[in-house]
Amino acid sequence: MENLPSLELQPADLAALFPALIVTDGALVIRHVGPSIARLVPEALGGDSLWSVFTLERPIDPDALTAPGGARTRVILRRKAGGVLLRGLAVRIALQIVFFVGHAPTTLLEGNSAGLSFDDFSAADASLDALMAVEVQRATAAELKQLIEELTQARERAESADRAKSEFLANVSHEVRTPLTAILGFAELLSRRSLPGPTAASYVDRIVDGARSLLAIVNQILDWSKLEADHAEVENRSCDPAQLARDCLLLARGQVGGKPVQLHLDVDAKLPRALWVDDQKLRQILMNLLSNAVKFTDFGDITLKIGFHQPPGDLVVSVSDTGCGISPEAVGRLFQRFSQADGSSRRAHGGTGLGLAITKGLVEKMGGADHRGVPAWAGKRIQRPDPVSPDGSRRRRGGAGRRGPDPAAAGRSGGHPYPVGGRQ
Amino acid sequence: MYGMIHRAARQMIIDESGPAVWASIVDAAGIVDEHFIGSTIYDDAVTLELINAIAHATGLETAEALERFGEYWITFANSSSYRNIMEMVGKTLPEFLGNLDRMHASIQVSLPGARLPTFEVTSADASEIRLIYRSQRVGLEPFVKGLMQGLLRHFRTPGRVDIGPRDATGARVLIRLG
Repeated sequence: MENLPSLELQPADLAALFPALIVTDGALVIRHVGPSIARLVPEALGGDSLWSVFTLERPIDPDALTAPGGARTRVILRRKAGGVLLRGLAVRIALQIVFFVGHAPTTLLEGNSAGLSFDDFSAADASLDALMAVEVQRATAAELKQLIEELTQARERAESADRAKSEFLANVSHEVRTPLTAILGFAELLSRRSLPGPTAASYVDRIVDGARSLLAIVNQILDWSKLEADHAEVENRSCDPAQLARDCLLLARGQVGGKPVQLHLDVDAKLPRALWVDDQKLRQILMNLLSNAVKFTDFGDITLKIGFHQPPGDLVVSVSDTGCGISPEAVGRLFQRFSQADGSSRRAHGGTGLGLAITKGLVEKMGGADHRGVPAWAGKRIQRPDPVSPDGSRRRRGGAGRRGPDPAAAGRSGGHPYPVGGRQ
Repeated sequence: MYGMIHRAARQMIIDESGPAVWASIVDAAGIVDEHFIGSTIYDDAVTLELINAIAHATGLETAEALERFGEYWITFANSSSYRNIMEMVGKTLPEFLGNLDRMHASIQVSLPGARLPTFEVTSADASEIRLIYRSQRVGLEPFVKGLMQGLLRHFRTPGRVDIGPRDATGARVLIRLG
């Protein structure tokens, strides 16, 4: 092989190939440094001895660098002020000692902490590729870990929903069976023997009551199914919201029975006399809220409040009651399907657990948002407003970009309904 | 394209429009598995369908959607598990741009099937930086423009990015500083 011709490197090429170069004289006084050393070890620019800036970790005997006969020596230099570790070769060239050294972090994080960037590594240094490969593997492992966590949570949610659905089915079976049993029982009694008029009439009343209960349950299930399948259409028409509220309150009075509960209506003076809204759904929303309040209030007051916020042109309703109250933790479950506040509530009061979930679905279908919260004091429960945009022609329905409601934090203080802007 | 691109797109849509919109995009693009792995290479057809579905769902032209995505991508990369790489590439805008090509070359060692672009800085001074962008893929210039805009924002450097049409040498990028 021919002798290697002498190579004259341009300064830029030298800097790119050896950014951490250190050149000393025979007495190990620093004469020149590469751009990486100049940036990271500024004290090396002072023309001082190498040992004033670095400690020698290898070779063990520093005299090996200047001993006659030693042309190339493996070196590890550590900056005395910290943060820089260099590895490479010290080569004796004529009267100079050239340290062809480079940075050697074990991870990119370590390199970043030392203030290193790509420019501090030789353009020909493949160790950077190895560091990058390790980092890519580490990043992939982190992604997979996150993915496993997400899938685990999704599985848990699915299992929880499955359990809730099973409980719901068991619950609905019971709710259906009870009135059905009453209907069949009293019908059989009527068919077997002739009974005095008042007795027979009372049996017929019980049959009718049972049938009505059954119909209400079936209607709830059908309503929910329609919402789930996204078949519920919004049909706006002109409506007097105050009169609608009065009608609903009258119906709710019929549900109170003999309980010492007073119903009140609070109508905002600014409420328009006519609004463009799906009155059927609005009626259903009001009746769901009122029925819920009647169910859980044994004495005291129930107030239906209906107002109008302009702008943005939202109908805002709220129902407050002096009922048994609800813990802040249970609020989050209130509007979920198949769920009541807790199992003891279902056992005490019955019900499918769909009412408030249907309410939420209807409000969302009408472009509103549902907020709920419980005031700090015990024994009082307030249901938050369901805003409905009154002008169907301006509202944006469905489509990309519409988010679901943001569940209000439980335990908000104050019993005031929250006006929420409807979707425009 | 490698999955990090798709992961960023997913996160952008979820951040800006919500999970329901992302679900509709996944449906529209015919994507079976929406859980992309950053270091896995996906067929370009998947990427194309995803970009089209995003443009349609957001009501933007494809070029505008690409540009917005490019800008978002920088923020995503700097907060993701790849942030150490992003930081090592450069601590200033000129340094980062100067090492962009080396970063892609280095990553290619870990992603052998990836067809990564090249970026060559042709000049840089206090008033402007000029690069040439070359890629085997066509039509991603708006995404590159967004990337550059994202870098300007990341390094808190006021400036404007223009990218010319592609020719035989590539597409010329001009970043006017200040």
